[in-house]
Amino acid sequence: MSRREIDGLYRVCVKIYASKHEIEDHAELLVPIFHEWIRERVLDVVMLDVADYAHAPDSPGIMLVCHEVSFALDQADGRFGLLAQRRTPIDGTAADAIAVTVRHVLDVGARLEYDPRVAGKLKLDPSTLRIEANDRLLAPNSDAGYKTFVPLVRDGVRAAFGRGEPVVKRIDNDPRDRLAVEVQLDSAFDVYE
Amino acid sequence: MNVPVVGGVVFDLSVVSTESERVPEPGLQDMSVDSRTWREVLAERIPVSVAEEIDVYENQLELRKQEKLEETVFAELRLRRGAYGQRYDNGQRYDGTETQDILFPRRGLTKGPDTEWDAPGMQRIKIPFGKLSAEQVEVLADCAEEYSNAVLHITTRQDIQLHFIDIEDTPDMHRRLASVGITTREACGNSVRNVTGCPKAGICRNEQFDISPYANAETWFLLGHRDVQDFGRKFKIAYSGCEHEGCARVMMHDLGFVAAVRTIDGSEERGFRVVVGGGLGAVPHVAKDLYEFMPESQMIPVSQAIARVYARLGQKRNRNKARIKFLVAKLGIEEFRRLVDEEIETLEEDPRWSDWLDEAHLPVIEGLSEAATDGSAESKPGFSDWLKTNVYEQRQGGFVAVTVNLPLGDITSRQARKLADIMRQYAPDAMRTTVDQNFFLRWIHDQDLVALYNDLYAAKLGLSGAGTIADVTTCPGTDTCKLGISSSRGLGAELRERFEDRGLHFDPLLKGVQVKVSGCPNSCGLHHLADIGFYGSSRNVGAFKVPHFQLLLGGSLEKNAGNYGLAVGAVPSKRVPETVDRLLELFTEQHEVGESFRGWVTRVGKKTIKERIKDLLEVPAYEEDPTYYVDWHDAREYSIGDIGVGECAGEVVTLTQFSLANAESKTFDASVIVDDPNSTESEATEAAGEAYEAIILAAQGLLKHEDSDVKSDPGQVFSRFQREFIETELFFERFIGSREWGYFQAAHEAGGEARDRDEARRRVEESQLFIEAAHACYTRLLQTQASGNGEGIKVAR
Repeated sequence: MSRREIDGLYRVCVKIYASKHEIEDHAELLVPIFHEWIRERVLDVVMLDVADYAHAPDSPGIMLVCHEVSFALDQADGRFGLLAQRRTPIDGTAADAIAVTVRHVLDVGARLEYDPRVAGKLKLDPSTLRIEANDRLLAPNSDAGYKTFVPLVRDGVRAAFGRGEPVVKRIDNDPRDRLAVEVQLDSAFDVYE
Repeated sequence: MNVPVVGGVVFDLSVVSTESERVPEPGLQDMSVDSRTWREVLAERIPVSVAEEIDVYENQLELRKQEKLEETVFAELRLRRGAYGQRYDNGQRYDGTETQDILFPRRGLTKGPDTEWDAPGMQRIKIPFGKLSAEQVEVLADCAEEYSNAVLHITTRQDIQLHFIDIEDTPDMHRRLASVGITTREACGNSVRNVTGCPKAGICRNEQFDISPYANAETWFLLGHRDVQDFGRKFKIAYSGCEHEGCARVMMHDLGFVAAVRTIDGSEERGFRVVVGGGLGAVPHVAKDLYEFMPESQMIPVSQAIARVYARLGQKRNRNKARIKFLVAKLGIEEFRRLVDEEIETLEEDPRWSDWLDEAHLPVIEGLSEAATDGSAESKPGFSDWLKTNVYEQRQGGFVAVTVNLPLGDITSRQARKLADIMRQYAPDAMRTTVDQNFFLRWIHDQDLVALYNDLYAAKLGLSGAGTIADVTTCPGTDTCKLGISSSRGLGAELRERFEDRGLHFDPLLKGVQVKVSGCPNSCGLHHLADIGFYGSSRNVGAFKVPHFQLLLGGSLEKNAGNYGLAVGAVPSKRVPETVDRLLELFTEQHEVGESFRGWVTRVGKKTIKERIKDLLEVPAYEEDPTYYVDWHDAREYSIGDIGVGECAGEVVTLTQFSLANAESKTFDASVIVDDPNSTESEATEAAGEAYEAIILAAQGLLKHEDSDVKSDPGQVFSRFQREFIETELFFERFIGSREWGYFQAAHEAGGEARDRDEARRRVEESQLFIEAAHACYTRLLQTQASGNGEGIKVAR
């Protein structure tokens, strides 16, 4: 698979995990917040609706569905965190799609953490990102897929933060799952400044 | 550029460009020459004719994008590929205070009338008689993950639905599904929908024979057949292996087959009892007997002939009267049978009518030849509860079938893959979806049961309570459906959780009590078939709109779902759980030994029951408790937002509201009579008169909005209503009004009379729907009035 092929990739997911999570009733807390965001158009995307999958175990939980990217308080991989799933093509490369999605997840994470209704119940740890290629045609969960995906992830993460050298590690998951990597952002990113 | 802070860390985002959508010029989407596509990758795995169909669909999609194809034509074409609309696809959304435009990038480009191209839609995927292989489950999981939100939803007709789909992803999704033998063709639109069948087919202890090969042959014969392309509405077919159980709900279908065996000269012959003209929808019809016994070899020709008669004579212009049930009711079953018999004679012989029949008689064993485990596994917690509710002993000794209980019919992609692994381990190709929105794993060796449970438990799929009161069925409702009035899934989730918390799913007295919820009267949640059913409605309280659910009692699944419940009264949405509790308490106190819930309802009577729940039908004033004015699992105010709260505090009840309340009461009385098995035929038909009076009262109520001095003479009310509400189109709004006006006309023309109990029952249902439409119309009148007063009322769509 060539870089040229995979550059068409835009379906990517970025997840940041919670280091603190004391939300008892997700729907009660998050549904009003997301509806308010839609009403006040607080994000720079076209926000559509709130979906509630909290009844299904290890599901996307409460989702804010947007035209370009959806956000979920997700438990699908067994760990709670905030997931952003890119849904539409982007004007740019796959690395740009990753960068924009990283940016989105951080933006939404920040808004949630600092919402007075959430205050203190949720802390997200931005030093580890889970990045997934959500396209089995362009980026299969294989050694070849991984080899092609890694430079895109590096470029994307660097573009999102503007500096630093991310440590990218392949996640050893079910081969039928999405190709997934874990990205560690160390001090080179100055994220702890 | 804002600077988000996550985990106390500041990120400089100025290095990332702002969101910028690529909006390709029509027909100019770039595609590298060496890019691989699903079309190329899967070419070898898709039958040529199927691949061509999908190519044609993709071309149609491109043409519509370039606006070279009419939007109405494209809408029907995509529907016939299962690509359905979804809530807010007209580009507008009520946000709790006002209706806002959704600023889609290609606003104005449509995929159907009033349907924005960029708006996400729903993909319905046909699963004939619910049969799925492990490989198919995996591909479905992939599609859900890449094109949807990683959740697969099982419907009440054994389909699978994915939501929030981009229309431009649909051709590739169809290819991927086709590569494992799944079709989306004719999953929606005016066509033959998914052919459903009893999930226990082939393993049931009570069936006459396995209907699976018959349902399969019917599916593939009719799919895309020229005789099923010109219907006025959809056409649903179901197969049952027995007369008495309700697993296949045959009596609510347009065409139903019930397995039957007769003995002639000492040899057994397979065939079917054939029924036609059933249907739920807003006004339910129980199917009529077309043939008491039709030999198996005639099954497909009969279906073909029925399709041809329906296509030729069924209503096309008025979609509210276009289902085959209306044609059967209009012609009468005798005449309909005569036409079908005549039609069969005209058919050209087709080898596909019977070339599969020999195979249908071969015994089928879908289980592994030997157990997968040695049976020594120690069970995980919850096994004994699960064993009580989720395991069915097959007819074939040594095998069991297991229900995988899915909350609200949802399963995640990851769970689905784990389920595929479990299938491969224990019975690879033996799974079915069910009309109760669950999976059914068949052909499991007894010996493997504990190990299987442990695997399901690990995948968080070991939920007990299948088929119990906690296994609540719901349609998508206001979550995603364009027609939803109230949040059926929100209510369903709430009820389920409460039942489980109190362990009601293990209460032997409540065994078999079913709760089903639809978000509107159209019955996708099958509310008519439940012991306790609900459908979404709304009511005005003062200046506000309040979500409600109409309560139905008395339905049942017995006799292939041949008993429909009738409305008792509209319950405020937030009081539904209390109402259900009260009903269960009353049943617990008053039931006689061995009496079913339905039996209790029939004995005690709905009038008495309604009296006992009367206090729960009240809605407190907004100032007292605003939570009543918000639907389940929503945060938006359902009602008229910020209209002069002080003014409505007086709770002035208008003449219109009084009339509508009286109309409801009248309809309720009529429903009690038609539903009472002890009522005489003449009493039942007289109830149609009461239903007609209820319509007159509701119409009179609307007229009173402008003129308090309205005469009560039915003829005058009819004429004035026609003049003031029909000719002015005041009574009509997108999906509401025209069908209900038809009900008024029909009842008026009949002078409030009905030929028999069935017709009377229909009239009662219709009067209830007319009243619902009158409520909706009244809300609009208030809205218009308030806007005129400059009060800026905004009403939820």
